[in-house]
Amino acid sequence: MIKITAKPIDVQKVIDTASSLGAGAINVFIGTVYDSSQSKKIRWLEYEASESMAVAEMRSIIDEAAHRWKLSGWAVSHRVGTLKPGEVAVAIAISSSNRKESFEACEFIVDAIKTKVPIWKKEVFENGEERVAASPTLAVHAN
Amino acid sequence: MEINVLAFGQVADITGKTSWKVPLVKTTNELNQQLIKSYPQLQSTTYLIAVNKKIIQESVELNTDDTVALLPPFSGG
Repeated sequence: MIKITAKPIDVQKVIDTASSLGAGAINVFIGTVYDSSQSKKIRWLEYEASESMAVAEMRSIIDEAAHRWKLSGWAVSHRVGTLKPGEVAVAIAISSSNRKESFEACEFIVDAIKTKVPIWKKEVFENGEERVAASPTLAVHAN
Repeated sequence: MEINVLAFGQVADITGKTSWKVPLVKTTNELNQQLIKSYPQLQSTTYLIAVNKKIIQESVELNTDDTVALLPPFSGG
């Protein structure tokens, strides 16, 4: 399951989707909305995605992970829209026959999602708002 | 003979819109020059260009009804 959703993420469903009777481990990463940035209090984050490109890129990341590690199951769900502190922004579940592989694959997928998937967030503070540029090195001046 | 332009994140902040049509031009380079002329602030930001959902590394030819997306640095997760 690869999903971009405007609705709250059902983490248990993500885990259930990735679970496999043949697996001895399920590794779950849950990314949540922080409540402050640069010592400023955050009111909410606004996430947007180029949905079809984001899903395609996540699929290619999963394919790459499945090529590197032996995965029994996987599921990724990323939220878009307005999220308040504490809400789940992304949930990733990876099942594998052993824990080391599940940890490594999960970390690889989280890192890749942050840098390769066309999703953007804006931090909205009590006094103004700011774009977050998590991966400035990957974008170039278009010419 | 038009092409569709999509803008996201800080690029959309500059253009003030997320989706619009422009008359067909020959290449992505030409389109980008036109966009910079219309929105000079684009010069002070960075973005990748995707044509029909594929990120391009250098200028490519455009055809009518192509969709060009302007993608600033990603910040998901």
